[in-house]
Amino acid sequence: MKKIIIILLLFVIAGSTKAQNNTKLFQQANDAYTASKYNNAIELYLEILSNGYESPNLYYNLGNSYFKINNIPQSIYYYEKSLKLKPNFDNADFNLKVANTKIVDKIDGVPLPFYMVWKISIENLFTLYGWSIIIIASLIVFLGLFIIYLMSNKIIIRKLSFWSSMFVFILFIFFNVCAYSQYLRIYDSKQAIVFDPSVNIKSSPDDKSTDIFVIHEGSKVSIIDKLGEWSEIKIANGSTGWVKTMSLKEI
Amino acid sequence: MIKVRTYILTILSFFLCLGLYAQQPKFTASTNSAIIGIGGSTQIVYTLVNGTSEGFQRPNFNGFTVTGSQKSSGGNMTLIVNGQVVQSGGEEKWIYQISGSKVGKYTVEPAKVKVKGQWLSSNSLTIEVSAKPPANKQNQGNNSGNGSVSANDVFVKASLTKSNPYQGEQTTISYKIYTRIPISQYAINKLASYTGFWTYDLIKDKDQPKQYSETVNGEKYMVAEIRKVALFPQKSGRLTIEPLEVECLAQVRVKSRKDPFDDFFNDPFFSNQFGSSYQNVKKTLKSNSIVVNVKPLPTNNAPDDFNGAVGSFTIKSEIDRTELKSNEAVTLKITISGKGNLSLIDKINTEFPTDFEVYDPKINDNISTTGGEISGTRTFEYLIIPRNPGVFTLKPIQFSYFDLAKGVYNTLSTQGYTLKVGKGTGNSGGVYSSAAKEDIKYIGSDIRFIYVKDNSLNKTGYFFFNSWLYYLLLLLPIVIFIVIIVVWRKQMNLRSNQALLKHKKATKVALKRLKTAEEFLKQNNKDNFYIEISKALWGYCSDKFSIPVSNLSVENISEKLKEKNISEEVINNFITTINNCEYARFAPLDESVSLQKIYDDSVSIISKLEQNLK
Repeated sequence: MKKIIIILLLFVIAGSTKAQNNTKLFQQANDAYTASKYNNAIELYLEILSNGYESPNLYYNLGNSYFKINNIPQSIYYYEKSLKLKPNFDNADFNLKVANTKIVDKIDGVPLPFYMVWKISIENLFTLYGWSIIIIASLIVFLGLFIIYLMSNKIIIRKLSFWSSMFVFILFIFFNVCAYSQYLRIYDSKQAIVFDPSVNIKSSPDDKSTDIFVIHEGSKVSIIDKLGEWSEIKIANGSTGWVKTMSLKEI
Repeated sequence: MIKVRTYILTILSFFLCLGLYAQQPKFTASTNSAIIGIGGSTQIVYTLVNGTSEGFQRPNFNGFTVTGSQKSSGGNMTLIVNGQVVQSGGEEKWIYQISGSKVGKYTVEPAKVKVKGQWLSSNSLTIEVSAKPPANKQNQGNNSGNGSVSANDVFVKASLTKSNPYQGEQTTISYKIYTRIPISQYAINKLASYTGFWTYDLIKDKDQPKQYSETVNGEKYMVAEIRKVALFPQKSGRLTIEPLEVECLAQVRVKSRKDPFDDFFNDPFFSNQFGSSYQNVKKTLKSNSIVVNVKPLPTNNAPDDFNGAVGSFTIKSEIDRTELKSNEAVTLKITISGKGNLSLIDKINTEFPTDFEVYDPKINDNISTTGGEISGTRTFEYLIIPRNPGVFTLKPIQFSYFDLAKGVYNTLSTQGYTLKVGKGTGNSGGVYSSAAKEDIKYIGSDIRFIYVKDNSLNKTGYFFFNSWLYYLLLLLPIVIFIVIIVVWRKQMNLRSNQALLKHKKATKVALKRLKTAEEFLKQNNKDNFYIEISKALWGYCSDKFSIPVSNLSVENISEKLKEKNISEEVINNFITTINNCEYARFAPLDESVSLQKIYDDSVSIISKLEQNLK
């Protein structure tokens, strides 16, 4: 028993020193950024990443640093990463829009039907973490109300608690759908940023095939399929084609 | 020269017609251009004067291709002078159109003609075919097929002062007409398009071009500068200036093939006398196209406020007053003077205190083009109205340009001012409050600042939603729920068991109480007797129906009994007995009801209930 406690304590201490180290790095990087030493800041932020830690803010700050040294593709890449972790990240969304004005391609997205817009905006009300907490909380509320229903003798209380517990149960299912849908949309769909200055999109995974269109660095594409060193991609306006995976960096 | 000579000759022959009648025949060769471009063509004319040909032998035209030939005879002219018919010597012409296809100098051998039995030789000609393609194509004249102007007679040349300027540096293109023949008028048909340039016309008055003579390839030309444009490249790289097209009317002497007699009477000036005249030939000239290699400005060290000004400039600022009252206007004048693309400086980076009302600047230009270079001043006049009293600083205004002479960026700065704004007569702010309620103006678009705190650092790739902890936390409430339900159920069971037990024991308890009551009856202890009897009856019902004693009343018991199909009589009996006991306990006893009767009734009620409530 004593041994286990000591081992656990050691883990906690080790973890906290590591976390402290990262917080320190983060602080230093912020100082470098504020002093306009953006390259320096990038190195420090990347060090935290290489320690195996990530957060929306970290990616956001990296995006900002790259933006400041005019490396737009990298900055877009990190903003997208940040938004992936935190879809309702206002500032990242804003900065991504600013960065997107600086790239060559202006691809008009296919407008989403209104219900998709609603769906996404509801899904993005909370991060996955937020949804998880809400789901657990709603489950607890539902069970609590149900217990009240079961144990109460008074008819009014029984009625009230039954219907409210049913309502919370429906909400619970709804929250689960939201969270799972966000989970699928963000973690299951593969997206990438183009890193080569200009890329010819081919009609088939073959160097000799016809060029369909050209995209430039910083554009966001969805990866549909992969074949050898080729990836089939889709851009926002719905066009698809094949490109060497080398030219892309997956978010 | 030959032409001139023949011309003089013909005039002379007109005035001294008789005396000169018996002239020797003359055979000459002439061409309209001795130098032609490769693929170009020229006319070679063999002219026989004062003679009638009896035979003609053309030369070989080695090195050329004959594209056309014709013979024309000016005919023997019949003149009537002083009533006598006089015949003047005619003129015969052999015209060959030849074109050269190989570069080089070629000699056209003399042609021969037989006059009066004798062979006459013409002079030989030297024609040079140059590698330069013909600068323009010939358009035949408006009404004449035989007047022609060669590319060497008149052409338009475009030249550039600097073919390798920086982006934003001035380079001047000028178009000149070179001509050897008289030109009566010209018009610019198609202006060159200066894509990628900002332009400024240096020749304003197009009607009076500068004229001078110049020698090109040994030939003397009259040169007229018809257009001169200052160009400021707006982008770097290879920029091509398309050719300019000029249409001009050239005056060309032509030989007439018409019947001289008609001409004689038709032409009042007799200019056609011997078959030659000047004719206006419309000709379209095209200048050469020009390629400009524009160097980009160095990108490193470019100041942030650099706006594309290139040249050499100075900046000066003036303010009309520095002490004023609120709501009064003050004028700030900023003058940029110097050489370069002044007109392209459309904005300067000004920064005024926020609650100043600043109007868009009035821009005044004073541009001169002396020496072909654009220089002058551009003045920005700002009208500023401070709306609130206070002491304000007008920051120095920075202006950056690329210094061509040094090849570096240069930043100039004006002086700053301190404005002392006193309280004005008008109520400050209040009146203009509506003006202050404006939408927020976005001055620039930049990214938002970084986050300085981060409490959410997580292991890369970890997310709570699908983790075991998440599922554990979901499972936990369910487990707790089930546990609670199970415990509660057990408790409920236990309680219902107790009720059952009570139900079973009810009769026993009641009988026990009745026994105690019997003893009290024997002792004649009335109070305790009644208590025991009512306890026995109430307690029996309480246990039988699992209703706590405190909740019991006569009404709910009789209801319950009715539900159990107990006869009215028994119920009434039960109620009277209970009531009697209650009355007896608290009120003076009605002696008519003896204790013994109450006791017997109670026993009979309980035994009857017992029978029915099994």
